[in-house]
Amino acid sequence: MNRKKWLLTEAQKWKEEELISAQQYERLAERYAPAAKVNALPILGSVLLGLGVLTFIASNWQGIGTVAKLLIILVSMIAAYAAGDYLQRRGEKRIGIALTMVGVTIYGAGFFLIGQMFQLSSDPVLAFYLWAAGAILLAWYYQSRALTWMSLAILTIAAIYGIDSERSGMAMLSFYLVFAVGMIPLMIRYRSVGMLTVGSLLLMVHALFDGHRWSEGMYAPLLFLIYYVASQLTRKAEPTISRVLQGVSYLASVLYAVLLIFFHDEVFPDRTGGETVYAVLLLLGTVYAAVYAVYQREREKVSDLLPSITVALLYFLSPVPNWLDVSVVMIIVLTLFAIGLVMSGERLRDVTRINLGAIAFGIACFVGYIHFAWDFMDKSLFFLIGGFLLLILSYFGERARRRWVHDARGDQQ
Amino acid sequence: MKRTAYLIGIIALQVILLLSIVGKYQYIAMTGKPITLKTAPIDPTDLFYGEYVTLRYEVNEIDRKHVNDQLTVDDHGKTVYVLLRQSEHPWYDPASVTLERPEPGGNEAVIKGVLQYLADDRIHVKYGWERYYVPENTGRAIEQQQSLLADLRVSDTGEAVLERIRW
Repeated sequence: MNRKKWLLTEAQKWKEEELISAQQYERLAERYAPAAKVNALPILGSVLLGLGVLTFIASNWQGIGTVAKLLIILVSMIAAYAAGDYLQRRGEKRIGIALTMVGVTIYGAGFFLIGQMFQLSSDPVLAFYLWAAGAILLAWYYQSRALTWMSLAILTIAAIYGIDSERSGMAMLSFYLVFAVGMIPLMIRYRSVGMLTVGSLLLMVHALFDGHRWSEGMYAPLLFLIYYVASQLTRKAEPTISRVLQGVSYLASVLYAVLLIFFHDEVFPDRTGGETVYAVLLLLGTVYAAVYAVYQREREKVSDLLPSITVALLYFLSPVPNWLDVSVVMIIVLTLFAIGLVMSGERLRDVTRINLGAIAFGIACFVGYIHFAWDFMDKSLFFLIGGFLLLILSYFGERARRRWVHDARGDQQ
Repeated sequence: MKRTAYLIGIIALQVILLLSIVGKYQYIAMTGKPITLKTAPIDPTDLFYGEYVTLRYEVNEIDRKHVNDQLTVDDHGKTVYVLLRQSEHPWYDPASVTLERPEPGGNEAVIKGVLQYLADDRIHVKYGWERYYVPENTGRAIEQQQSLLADLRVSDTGEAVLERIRW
């Protein structure tokens, strides 16, 4: 029970015991009225309303003509915006924003309606970007976190929706423009870990998809390194942003290492002119990041760069000689990377780092196990032993992790 | 009051954007040259646009002999112009494919598409009007047709609006 509620129940008793008068109770009740609870209902309501509009359009009901539908869309959109604005001015912030969100949804429905009217099928994701752009403008105007989240949600849905369709140059340009001009400034403004994580992941996934048009694969580790360097550069001025960027680059590096372990033949590009440019940039960038880390008195973090330096060196060695098994190399690198995270976490008194390291270590063990065991053993035996190993690993891992965390916290105090 | 002006500006922008898309296609639908193409249906559903019939036009796959320019694999994803000509039957047939826009004659029309890929004997082109949206649960009837005729309006620039399909 919170303090205000407690006080009011007590005051109720005092009134009944006639310690205080009914009038005094009223005044107390007024003064300590519980603050308006964060209420998700308006948002939920607006989501339902919006879904109603979207599905209505999708049903392509012929009962009213398309021109009438277009009019309904425009009029109800303007009405929702006007009502939302009116309520916000009246101080009804939450429901006002909820209505504005309804307006934004109707705006988006407009694109789908127009698509239906003229049987359009080219560039379906472009409509989402224009939709998100409209939402972002309003997020700026109302300085609203809810609308910023909605814009991110629209862009995320666009990414899932458009995953199988090749985007035109125009759509690509719109995405990066919307992101750079509208979304990134909003993300920086709120510095919310959730928003930054979703946003930077979204950006990375898009860059990975689009990069494939120009490069066979070396751009991917370079992209992760760019995130890492960006996190280094923002560490002092923007610690939250820096941590998110670093986390995303770790995640990407670990996944990429796992991908190389299993599918290096498909993933790793041949040596061609264009790829070499990326590889050289990767090498130079890694050296730069290492020097920067040492210069910033973070020598411990140099092990973060193990995956990218390895990938760069492997590229220059390719075609990889027969005695060198890329999978084995990457498993060792991933393990060293994980140990490096844990050890540097310990030295830097960074609990999150230690936890990340423990997870990466678990992944390295698991992947190593699958890789080495698959060829030799019967599959059922593989699963039995695999499960058993994981349980033991998680037991020892958790114990070690606790000890590390305990030590790190202990040192801190 | 300056703030309100901004809000009205944002909303007006959204309205204008929606209406300008309508305007562009309405203009083509009103002023474009009417043409008919031969096509065949397939039937899926889209989460946001609802049920539609995917149309595979004859002009989606064009015989290599009509390709005037020397197209190569590097041209994948490029804009191509397909010159259509109407002669023996009511629908238009492809007459030539070029990277530059040709001037159509009396019984001709130009449509703009994107080169998807080159096969040995034919090329695949996508236009952006391969979907015909239908009221829900009505796609099946169209799907059962072996072949359809599609009525379009095309502008001088090669943009087209699909108006109706018939069989």
